[in-house]
Amino acid sequence: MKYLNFFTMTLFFISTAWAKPITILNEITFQNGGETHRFFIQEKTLNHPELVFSTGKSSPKKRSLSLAEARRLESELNRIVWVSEFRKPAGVVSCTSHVTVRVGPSSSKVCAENPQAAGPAFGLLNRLRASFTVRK
Amino acid sequence: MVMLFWILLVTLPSVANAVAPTAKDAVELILRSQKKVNSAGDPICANCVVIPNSRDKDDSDPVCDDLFEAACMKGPNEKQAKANHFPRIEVQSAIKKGRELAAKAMGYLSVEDAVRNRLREEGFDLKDSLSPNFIGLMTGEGSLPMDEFTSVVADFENCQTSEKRLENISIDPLASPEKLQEILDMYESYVAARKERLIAILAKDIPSYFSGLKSKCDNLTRLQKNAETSLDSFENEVCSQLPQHRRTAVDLFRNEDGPGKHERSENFVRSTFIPANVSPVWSSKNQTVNAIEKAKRNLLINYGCNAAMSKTNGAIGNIISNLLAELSLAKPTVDSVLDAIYSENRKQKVESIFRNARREVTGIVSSFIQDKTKRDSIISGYEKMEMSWIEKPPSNSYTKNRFRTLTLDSSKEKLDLTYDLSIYALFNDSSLSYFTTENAFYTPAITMARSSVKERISFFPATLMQMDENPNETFMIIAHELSHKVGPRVIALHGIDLTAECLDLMECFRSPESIRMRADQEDETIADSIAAESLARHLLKVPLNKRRAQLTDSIEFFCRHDEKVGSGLSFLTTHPENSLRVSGIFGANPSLRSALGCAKESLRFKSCGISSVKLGAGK
Repeated sequence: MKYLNFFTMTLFFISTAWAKPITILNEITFQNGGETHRFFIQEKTLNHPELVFSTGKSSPKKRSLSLAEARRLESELNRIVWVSEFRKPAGVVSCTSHVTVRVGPSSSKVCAENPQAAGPAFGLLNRLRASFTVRK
Repeated sequence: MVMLFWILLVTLPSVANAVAPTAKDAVELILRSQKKVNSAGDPICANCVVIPNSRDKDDSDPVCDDLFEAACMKGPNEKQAKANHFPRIEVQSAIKKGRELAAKAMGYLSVEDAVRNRLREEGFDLKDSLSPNFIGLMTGEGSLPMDEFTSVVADFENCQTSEKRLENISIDPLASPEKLQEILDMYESYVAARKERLIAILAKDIPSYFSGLKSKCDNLTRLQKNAETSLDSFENEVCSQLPQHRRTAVDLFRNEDGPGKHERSENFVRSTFIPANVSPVWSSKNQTVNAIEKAKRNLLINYGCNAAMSKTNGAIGNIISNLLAELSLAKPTVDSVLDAIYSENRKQKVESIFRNARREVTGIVSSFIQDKTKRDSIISGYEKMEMSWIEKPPSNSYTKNRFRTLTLDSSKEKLDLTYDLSIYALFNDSSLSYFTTENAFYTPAITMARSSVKERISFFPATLMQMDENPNETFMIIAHELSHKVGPRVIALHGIDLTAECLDLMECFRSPESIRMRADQEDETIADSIAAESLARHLLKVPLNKRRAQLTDSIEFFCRHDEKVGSGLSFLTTHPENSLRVSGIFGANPSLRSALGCAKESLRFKSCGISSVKLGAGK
């Protein structure tokens, strides 16, 4: 019984550790074939960021990031949000959603018609995708 | 022996469920298993369950038995090397050549010289020797190790040397007050200098700075509400005026290239920068010693080399990315990249493959869809379908930049969603990833707001260039993309319901004897299945002895991009796993097996194909 209790307690601790909330810092999402594809940076423990790719019902894929990589990504995402929100060309009247980017509380729908934001967003997405799949 | 035979006979149905062999195959398996047990000659193993190896080398046919294994697992290293090199190398050298020309047109000696100059303008000096991949790593194609970063950026070497010198000063509480005051002054003046440096770095990336400031204020306000802390007057002032600060930050961002940009941005950061709180130190009775300890902590927490390093990394990365995007948009780069990819010869070749693939796919779809109205609508769609092809932008798409170099101008370009993004957007990317990533896709006709998109097949340049080496693969990719038009979900966008027509085929692929297709994989599976039928028709036109080689060439794309082979893109959820696609859809396709002269049924997967399943309703 003693062992059983120890076992139960261990399980309890493991499950509470799993239940610990994870901070999602930034994300970029896009629609592909009717599904939402989502790349986001999360911090499971302080200063240990990881990049996560999730789509549909499948289990998310994760890759740990160095702090410098996370900052760099955050900075790129921030720039895309700001270019999309504050440097919208006057000629852009319609918006075909290319991707949605969220950095902390700010988010922006990047329009395909705004090449200043859509270009870097497209490049970033290709790089993020490649970072999960191309083994060098 | 008779006993053993009965054991095997009882065991076999479960094996049969997994591999669905024909009666002849089952007999063969039993015989092989008996042979194995006999040859083992071990009485202890008389009751062992022998799992028959369906691919004994003596009588197996690799291509017919397991197409993925035969095509992809032979020489995986070679395939991995191919995936990593071709055709990216060709495109990358065109990008490099174009950017070098652009840098020269802008008055620099080279791209590296442009990077050094641009960083120097922004207050960062690089040391003489740079690792060859420095520029790539600084723009997000990986991560530059911190020790390399600090050794390249001159500022950090000085920073670390000075910090070490300070650390080595011993603080003796019994030293004279003058000596202690001298140390304190040294610390404080160093902290002040580092603070100014940090402000200059933060001012280079106002969006990130403001985002950090907002998070800090949100956090402080939350802590204050929970009575965990109280804001000092400066924090209170900055955080209470956040909306005004946001307006200033946006204004600075909009005029990032304007005169006096550095000074204005630095003033903004200086007036709003909230350092982390450093609590007073009471470790000594000597106030000066405590003040030195506090300055030390302040340096470590707020202004030390490490604290500034990641911010500098981000700032330098942004500066290089912006420069590379600027070089990419210049006419020499645009011309070099487009010339390397979109040649007239390649256009004729891909159009010819496209026409052949379209003819085969149309033929299959015609026999597959019996309802005349649906069929006519789909066939007429196929006849109008095009392949996207990038033409060089006309000369009036360019304008002269501040270096008097012709560069693409977004305001002069009308958005053409043929490539999903404008030419400007494709080139406004520091990594020019569109030109180096392999991909292809089908886009249905869509009208969105004021834009409308024609139905088409798009090839990313790297996939298009693969055609030079392997046109059979290009045929397969085009056939696959064309077949997406009749995928159950996609065709619904065109107002046609093919659920009934696809029902039996879907059931077949869903079964455990086949690939156990999931609901979200239907469109991709149908596309592969029709591509396999098209490939079969195509192969019938070549001599029998060349068909197997042509088939393995056709499916090389799956090998290059499979994790088992050790390289490439995995298609994650909507596509079945590559080995299932190759062996379970292509390898088990009855028409393809017949074209190759394989036995009717695959050993591993149930045969599912348009010609093998009973067509559903709607005939």
